[in-house]
Amino acid sequence: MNAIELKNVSFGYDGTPVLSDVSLEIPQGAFAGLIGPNGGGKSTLLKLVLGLLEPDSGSVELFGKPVSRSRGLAGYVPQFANFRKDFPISALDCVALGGKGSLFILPGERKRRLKEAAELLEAFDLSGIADRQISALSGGQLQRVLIARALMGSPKILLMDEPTANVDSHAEHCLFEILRELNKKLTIVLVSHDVGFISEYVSTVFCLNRRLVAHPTSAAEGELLHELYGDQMRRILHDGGHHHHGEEA
Amino acid sequence: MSGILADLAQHGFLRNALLGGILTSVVCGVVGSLAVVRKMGYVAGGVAHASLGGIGAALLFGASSLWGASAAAVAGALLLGWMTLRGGENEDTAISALWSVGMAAGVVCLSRVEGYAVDPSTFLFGNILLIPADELLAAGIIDAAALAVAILLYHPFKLCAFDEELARIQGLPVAALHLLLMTLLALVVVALIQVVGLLMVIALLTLPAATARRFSRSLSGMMVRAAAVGSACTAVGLLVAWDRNLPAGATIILLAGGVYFGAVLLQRLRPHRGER
Repeated sequence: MNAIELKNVSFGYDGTPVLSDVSLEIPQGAFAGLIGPNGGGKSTLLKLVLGLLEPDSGSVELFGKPVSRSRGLAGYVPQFANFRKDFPISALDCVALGGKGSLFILPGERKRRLKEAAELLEAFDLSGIADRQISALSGGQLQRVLIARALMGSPKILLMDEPTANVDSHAEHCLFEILRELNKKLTIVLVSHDVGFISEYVSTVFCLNRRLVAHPTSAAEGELLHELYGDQMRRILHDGGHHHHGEEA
Repeated sequence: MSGILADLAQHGFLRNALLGGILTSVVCGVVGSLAVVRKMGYVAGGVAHASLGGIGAALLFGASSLWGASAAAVAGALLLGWMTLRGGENEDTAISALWSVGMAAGVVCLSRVEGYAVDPSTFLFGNILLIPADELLAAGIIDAAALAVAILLYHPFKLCAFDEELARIQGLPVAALHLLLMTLLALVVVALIQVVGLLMVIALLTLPAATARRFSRSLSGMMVRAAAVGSACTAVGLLVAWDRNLPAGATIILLAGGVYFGAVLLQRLRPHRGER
């Protein structure tokens, strides 16, 4: 079964097309990267998969079910900017907010969620900061807290938006180790404009620029990148020190 | 001091006013904390001023000012909530429009009320000591209902305030919850108008919550502290005003303001004791 399956999906904002006839299959257990230039439709595709948007045409399925009936199967790790950082909340409580949505949480359920959250923090070596306020965490810590939150309720797929946007290169390396471990149990999809990071680590790369092209990692180079990003990309490849060969990762 | 206690024992209306003021402050601490973390203080201000239109219309047609205020406040809050949800309309503009149009409608209606001249300052500055017992009871029931809803739906309200996107992804009815919170806010505003008047609603809604925010590590902790700070300011302010023959609403607000600025100063002087 496919973890994610898009069939002929088109979507536009007020008549401006963002995605045109995109079909995509990500098999269960994959470690996939979705890359593309800004404005290429990455975030839109992510929102469609998360059920935040409905496609104009075509269908979006998670594990063989329409998105509206598969809530809780996908854990989502946002970029940091999406929530109130000055909110009075501890790391532990933030993690406990993840999982299945619920209007009422009875004390017994609350206790169970806090226990699960504490176990997740421990698994990420974050027990020491469980009581710390969200606003006092470093970028790397906050990201691991958000990954822990996305893993509440044991989802079958983990979706990450721009995983390298707010962390330094050391945290980036730690992040990859964590993700590789997690990938033994669940499907992972990273969405990024950072071609270097993505293609070093993932097994499949999907390149999105309104339309979609899928490639194994080794092919996500040269002509294809040029086609997607134009000269700007070639300059980054030549000058920026990013490498895309598996053996150097 | 003993004089105040004797007055409390003697005058039922003073006891009722004290009880009503404290109950309102408790609800205000809970809903006000949500309003402060969501930065909705000015929404409350707009709603408060819109309610003057309802008060004026109610008095003009011989209805109770409390129901007029409630209807206008809820309608104004839902209108603002709907505009925000739809996007497009600038929320700032919408609040300003509601604020001044409500006020204007109220002034025009009140000028047309026949029989006796209505003094708008009762609504502008509030006077809980002059409110009839039955209206105080009605406000108490509104308070209790708003408090019950806020406690029952604490989890989704908290999640929506912290991370609305996650709430949407989890499939929570975010739009309905937003409109419900706006309704609660409107009801609390109406209750607050009786205590401090509509000009100072924002202060009692936000100052105790903002004070509590500085010493709280969780939303629930913030709500409890805000309720405590608000109740204390209301009770002390009311009794001092009674004792010294001062306007009650303004005295309460001066106390709440003093506590807030005191807390800010305290944290400035001893930064490491404040929690961040």
